[in-house]
Amino acid sequence: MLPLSFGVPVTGAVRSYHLESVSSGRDVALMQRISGGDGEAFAELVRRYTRMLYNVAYRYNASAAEDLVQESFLRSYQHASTFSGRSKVSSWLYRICVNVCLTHQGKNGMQMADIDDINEAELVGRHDDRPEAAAERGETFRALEDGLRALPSQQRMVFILRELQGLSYGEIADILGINEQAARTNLCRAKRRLQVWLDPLIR
Amino acid sequence: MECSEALDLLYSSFDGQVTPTEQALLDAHRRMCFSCAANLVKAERFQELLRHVPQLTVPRGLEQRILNRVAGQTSGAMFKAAKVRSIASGAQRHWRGLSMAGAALAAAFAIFIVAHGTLQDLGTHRPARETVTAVVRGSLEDIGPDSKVGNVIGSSIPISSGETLRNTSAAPATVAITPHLAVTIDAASQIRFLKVHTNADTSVTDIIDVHLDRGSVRVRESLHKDASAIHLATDQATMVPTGTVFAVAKSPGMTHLTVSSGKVAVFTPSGVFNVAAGQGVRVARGAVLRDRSSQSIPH
Repeated sequence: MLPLSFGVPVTGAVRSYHLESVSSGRDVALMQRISGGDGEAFAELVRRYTRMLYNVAYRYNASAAEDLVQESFLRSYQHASTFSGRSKVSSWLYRICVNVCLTHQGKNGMQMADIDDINEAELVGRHDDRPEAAAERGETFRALEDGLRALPSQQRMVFILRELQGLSYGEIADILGINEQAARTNLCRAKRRLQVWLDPLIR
Repeated sequence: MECSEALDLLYSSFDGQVTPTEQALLDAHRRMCFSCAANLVKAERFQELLRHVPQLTVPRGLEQRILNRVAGQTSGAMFKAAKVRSIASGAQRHWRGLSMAGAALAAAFAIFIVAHGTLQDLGTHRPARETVTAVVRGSLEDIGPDSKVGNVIGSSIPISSGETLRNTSAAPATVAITPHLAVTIDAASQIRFLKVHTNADTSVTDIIDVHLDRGSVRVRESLHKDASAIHLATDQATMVPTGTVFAVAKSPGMTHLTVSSGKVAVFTPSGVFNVAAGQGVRVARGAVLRDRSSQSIPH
């Protein structure tokens, strides 16, 4: 369980040294405008970071990804005044999004359709038929996404942040409220599982 | 160095996190240990694959919907005038989330006495943490990770990552892998243990990943605290029980699953489903069909 709460300023976080003094003046000004109720500034924030958060949320829980991103931005707006500039805006948003994802998982428990809930037409050829989807993601990437969602929450999130979002272990440790070694251990476990999972597809 | 440690070191090396000494140990292990050489190569390919995972585009209109929601749930009508340039090019994706639901367990098990953590010297190719002692009822051909072939008839055997068990007899043979897990291998069938791992501190076998190479198997597993479920894979799907009895059969291009009790999560490239007791499915490339002819599993 994350030790974070949205009312707690990032500046007060115990391990915030990883993120100190990395926010640009532009980011700080943007967040100040948002905390003052500037809608254009918030729209700018949404434009800059929706894709980043969507990638995390989708890989974490595809079926709820859009809701998770909307909820993350809602909380970022509500708590904009707690942003002090000692972390990057991206790190601050990641932290909110991770918390929203894990909270959603806790509230909703495990989600999986029973086969009886799915009609026959859905079962046959059940996949994303869009040509652009096929271009975006091959079979292996789809299998990776499936395998990801079978991982324990923390392993899944560490893997997403490290391997798919490219964050440092220090940033991941801050975002998840764990130490760097725990982040490394979680990543190793996740990769072991996923490697086995994808074994038939790895040539 | 054990194979599992070598794999962890290799993962660390991708991050540039290994010392020269560790790198030398890893290199030496790769030269000496044939049992995990292929696995390490796969790890490198897996890492290469990860470098090419594309960033997703956002669904069309999502940014505007975010603004609308925030405006609707706060006092601000301020967003109404905000124009958002959509960078979305993708459409909605309707992938169901997946995870393993907890399920009630009802299974009568063939109980074998299985010795854990009592392995003696099994040689360099059988690290203790990647080996379990199983008990075989019936007759099986055992191909070890070092490619040595032997016959097992009604006795205990060490099973390690990379081990293959083949049933060349006319009768099924049952392998009790842990006190909670038994796999019956039908005649003319073969399974391969992709990964076996036992926690050195707790002596609990926490990873058992099996591939059904051909034929059919029946699985009886009673999940208990701290233990991970068996992952039984074919070319079409991977089955993960949540405490159950189930059978998997493989025919060309097709996997047949029949569940006798509990539930089995089925992971396929085209979706994920729970299959409950009394149900059967057939999984082929790109399609999952309810199997009307599924029968209960003989005990």
